[in-house]
Amino acid sequence: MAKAKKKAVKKAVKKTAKKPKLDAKAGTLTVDVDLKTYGLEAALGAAYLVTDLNFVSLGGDRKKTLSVTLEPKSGKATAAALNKLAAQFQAELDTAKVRWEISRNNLPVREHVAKLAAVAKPEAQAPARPNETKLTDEQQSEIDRLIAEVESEIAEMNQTKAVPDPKGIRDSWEKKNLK
Amino acid sequence: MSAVDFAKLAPHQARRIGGKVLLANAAGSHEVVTEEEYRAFLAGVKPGDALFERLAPKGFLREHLDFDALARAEGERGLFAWQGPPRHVIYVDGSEPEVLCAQLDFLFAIPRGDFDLEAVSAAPDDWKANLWFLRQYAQCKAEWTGKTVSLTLRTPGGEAAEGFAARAELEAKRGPEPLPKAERFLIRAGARAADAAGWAAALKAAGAKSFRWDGGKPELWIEVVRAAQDAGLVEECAREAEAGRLDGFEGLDLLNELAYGPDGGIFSSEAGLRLEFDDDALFRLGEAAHLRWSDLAEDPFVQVLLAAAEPEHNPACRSCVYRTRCRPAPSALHAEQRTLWGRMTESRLCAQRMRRLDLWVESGLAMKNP
Repeated sequence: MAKAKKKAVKKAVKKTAKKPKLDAKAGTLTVDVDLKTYGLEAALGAAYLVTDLNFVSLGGDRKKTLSVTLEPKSGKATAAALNKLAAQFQAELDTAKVRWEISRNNLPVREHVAKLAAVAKPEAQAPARPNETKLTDEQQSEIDRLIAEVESEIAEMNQTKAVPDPKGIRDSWEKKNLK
Repeated sequence: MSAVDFAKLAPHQARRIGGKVLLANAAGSHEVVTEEEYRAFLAGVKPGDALFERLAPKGFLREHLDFDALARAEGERGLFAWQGPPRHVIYVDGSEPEVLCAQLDFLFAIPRGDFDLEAVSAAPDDWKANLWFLRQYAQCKAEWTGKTVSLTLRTPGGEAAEGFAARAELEAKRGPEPLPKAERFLIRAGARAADAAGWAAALKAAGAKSFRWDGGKPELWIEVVRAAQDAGLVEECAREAEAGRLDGFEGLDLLNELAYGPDGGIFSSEAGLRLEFDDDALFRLGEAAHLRWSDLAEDPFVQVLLAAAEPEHNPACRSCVYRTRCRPAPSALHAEQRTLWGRMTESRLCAQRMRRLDLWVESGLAMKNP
């Protein structure tokens, strides 16, 4: 039974797979991808994934057949290299097809998980308010004291050690922006 | 392609590494199977199969999903529970108390209850007044707001400052050289860095508890990770790979990190701040004196940044098996390729990170399941 199933799958694949066109002179490979079998997302995904080593151009139409032309970046490829590339691209196409099918089949699962996550985290529904409480007088005077202390220390330091600053890094924001 | 029973398969990613297949899913679970087992998994496994017993508890089989666990993972790893970035990098050289004040006011307005504040100084002796003020004000703000802040000072020489943990930043050009004493290290490894065991021993002798090995050859990194484990040290990139939390990736714009420049600017990451040194101000979000955390969500650029940092929005990341253990930092991708979204198939950063993770899996190091 399993053997018969395997044979049927092989036959179906053979029927739908079109032989890629090799142009050894130009060093390019063109594959016509049947979009009814693979789907546009899988075809585009597989084409994107081979852009690391190949220039890829697309043609055809988005409903029936996508024509994918690959040109190896490393220079003019031999017929053997193009045949190997054809096999690699076919493998990427098959993998992309499985991935997209899994993704489509599991869309309700992912939506359900997202809904559960949103419900399970009540603080996510009411985003936390930013802390914008006003400082008390005591806190404000503490800050003023700290600032005064450090400014006097900086002034003292600047008097004792003049460090050249040709790029104006030490200029304050006000000095740079308020004119 | 062999037969696939889609009705039985839960969402997952797969990658062939070293003759085996790594399976991973959005909850961060993973399992290494043989090619034959992978084909059997795709065709559909039944209760009672040994493979079923391995995969069902980890959420790879659709009919046996633990929705509560998945929802918890989604909540922890997604934006639902995000309270703001944990890591804040402040450049103190050339800054002033009023600027530091405004920057800390902005920082403490973020809803998050705990922060790591990393002060960066090339000459801490010259800027000790700023460091002193930063510490004092941060501690005041922490006390007034009920939040916790841990302070780190990052310098080239690992200099200590009172109240700060020391983090030394240095380059690894070849083998280890004498190291300053510090609890943490940030090591920028060059292409010729070598001698992993020597580096681990040197770091241990320097008093390090953890370090980050940035760059360099992935093959050396995996040796460094092993040597660090043997020496009882934590390598921070490895910890990121293990944890896979949204806020766990150092350098990830806005989600993990914000950076503060000496002129009062606020940047989506330290990489974004450093780009401005080369006259690229793309990642400047605003000025501390005028910017409010609560306004950021309405900024179109912030919305684009968050979208670009989401693996789901990148065609290569979307189907990547390391999706939960890696996050593309838009500022790093922009620095490399001049695009926030990244062309992952051509990205050296992506290739390096993938190679590191492949080696991690091949070496059998413990990649923790949630």
